[in-house]
Amino acid sequence: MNPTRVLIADDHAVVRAGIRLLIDRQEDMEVIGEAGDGWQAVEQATSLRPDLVLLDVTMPGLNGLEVASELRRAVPDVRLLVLTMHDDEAYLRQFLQAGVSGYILKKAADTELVAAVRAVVRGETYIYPSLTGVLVDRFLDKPEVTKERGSHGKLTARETEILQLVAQGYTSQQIGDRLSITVNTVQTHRAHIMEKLELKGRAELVRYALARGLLTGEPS
Amino acid sequence: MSLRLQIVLAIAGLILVLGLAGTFHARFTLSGISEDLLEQRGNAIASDLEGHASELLLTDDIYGLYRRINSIMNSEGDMRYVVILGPNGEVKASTFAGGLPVGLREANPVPDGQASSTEILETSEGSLLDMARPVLGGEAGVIRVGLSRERVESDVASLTFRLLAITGGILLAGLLVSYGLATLLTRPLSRLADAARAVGRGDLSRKVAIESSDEVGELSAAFNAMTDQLREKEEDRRRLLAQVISAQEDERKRVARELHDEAGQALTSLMLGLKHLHETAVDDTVRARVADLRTVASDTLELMHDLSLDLRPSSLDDLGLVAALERYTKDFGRKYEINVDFHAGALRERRLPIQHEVTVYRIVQEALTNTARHASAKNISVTLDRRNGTAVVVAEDDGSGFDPSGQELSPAEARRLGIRGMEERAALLGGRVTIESRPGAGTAVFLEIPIDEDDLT
Ligand SMILES: Nc1ncnc2c1ncn2[C@@H]1O[C@H](COP(=O)(O)OP(=O)(O)OP(=O)(O)O)[C@@H](O)[C@H]1O
Ligand SMILES: [Mg+2]
Repeated sequence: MNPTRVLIADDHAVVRAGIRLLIDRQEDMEVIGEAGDGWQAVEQATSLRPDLVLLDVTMPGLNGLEVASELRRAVPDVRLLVLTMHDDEAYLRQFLQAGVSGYILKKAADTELVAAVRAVVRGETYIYPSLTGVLVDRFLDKPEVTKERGSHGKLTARETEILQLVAQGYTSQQIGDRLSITVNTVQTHRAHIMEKLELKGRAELVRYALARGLLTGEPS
Repeated sequence: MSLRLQIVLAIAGLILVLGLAGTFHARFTLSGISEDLLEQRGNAIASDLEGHASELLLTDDIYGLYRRINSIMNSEGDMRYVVILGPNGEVKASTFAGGLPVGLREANPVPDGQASSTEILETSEGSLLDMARPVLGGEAGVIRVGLSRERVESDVASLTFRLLAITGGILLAGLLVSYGLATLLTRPLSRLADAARAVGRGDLSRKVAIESSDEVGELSAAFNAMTDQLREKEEDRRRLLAQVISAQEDERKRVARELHDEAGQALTSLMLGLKHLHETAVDDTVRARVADLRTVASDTLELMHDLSLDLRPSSLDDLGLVAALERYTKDFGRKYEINVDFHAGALRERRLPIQHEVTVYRIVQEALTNTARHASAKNISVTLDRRNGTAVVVAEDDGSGFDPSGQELSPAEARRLGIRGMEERAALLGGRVTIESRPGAGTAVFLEIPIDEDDLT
């Protein structure tokens, strides 16, 4: 079997050197090129046709995400593995959408890079363990948004009105002024609403109102 | 007492005092003069009568006497009576149809050696001036003349009345004029007071119109100059604050980037190098030493990363507010073991100008830090949404709450910068922070910032 041909795209020469040292030691992989910015990365990936591009996020010229999108289009069969300092879930999500096969953090480069390269070449998706947790969280979270709670049919018209205003982010004072009632009354109503609908906090209340169409159209 | 009332009362008092004093004085003078004139007339009539009567008395010409007194009665309008008494007090001639009224004869005795005597008699027919004049030293008899004082009295009364009426008129006019004048004087003053109150509340755009070049106008001009100065100062302060904040943010961003990129990359390559050494080293002690170093490098990298995140998360600039807050709230919840529920509504898809995003991020950061430090809360909600042309952010906890009016804060607490800082940051973008809290009822921090549809990307 031919060794995996790897292109390193990273704007830091010392990092590239370190990675090259590590990869070249492996029997089943070799570094065939290095790119110091986004443009070079696209250029070299199209001309050298590596099996895998190791991609940094922050780079001069095109950034990692732009390079990923560009390569998906230009050389769809090249696999992309992101190697970055950024441990934000949001970065990960964007890169997965752009079609990368792996995402690992630089702080684990020495221990996980080689395993990640192998997994990705095998056609698997490799994501840095603490970040996969994040993805699973989100997946499990999802149904909760639409989970059936007490219905607001149980709410009085006044309570629905207050629910709507609270969800829109009005202060109790503003709501009181609008409806010509005291702040205390507003808060009592609100406490009732939360109890009836079994809502734990403002964010849940907003999501509830959103799901019931209370934030856009007429109260239903 | 209002200044207006004071002015009106002062002027009314002055008019009243002047009017009454004038009236009294005029009345006194007029009655004195009239009294003198009446007396002189009585004297003239009596002495004229004496000249004629002495001869008629001596000849005992009663008829002649009657003719005289009747002609006097007819020619003098306010003549009440003329009586001529004989030497022994008997009536020689009299204009009284019946006898003399009781007491008249004795009423006005002439002291010895005097040419005449005058007496005021109060009778049932009014006040009279009675003159007694002995004829030939009393030898031939006494002439008594009675003149009515009614005209004198009515003249004085009518003068008094007219003067009082005039005083009243002047008083009325004075009241009107002084009321108008006082209004004219005090209106700009109350306008000034209104404006001063507005400025006190922080409305530095208030101006007062300068309507005159007098002292009030001067005061208005000085007031306007003062508010101008205050506004300039306030603008200076704002500008300076904005500069300080943006300089601080820039610096944090720069240092965070530097830590994240340069130092981070250097440590990464260090770790990769150590890994290589570890794999190639033959000596076990060297390998163990390299493994230790790898741990040091890894810990340092972690530290650097956290520090950079703390200073300014790169996701805020690269991915936007929602991503940055998602990250922050998640880390925060884990760190303080508080359940943080973050909901981003309509703003999830759009990006605000970076200044706005940084402001919102910092304010949420401060609100959550306060919750962690003071509230001992179990749950925090952070919601981010757009309401018409306003970005609305609410951070609400279910903790211990406090009195946001600041009345129960110790002076040290009141000097804290957290809440002040939130308010100032919001104000720089034309927004505002409202805190609703009560001891025992949790705390909600509301942030409203106006946003321009064109600024969204
Ligand atoms: N969420 C909260 N729950 C309970 N009390 C609060 C909360 N937020 C603020 N406070 C009270 O308000 C006071 C002022 O808050 P502020 O943020 O201005 O100052 P600080 O947090 O004490 O100090 P710093 O200047 O470091 O922020 C706090 O000392 C605390 O007593
Ligand atoms: Mg604070």
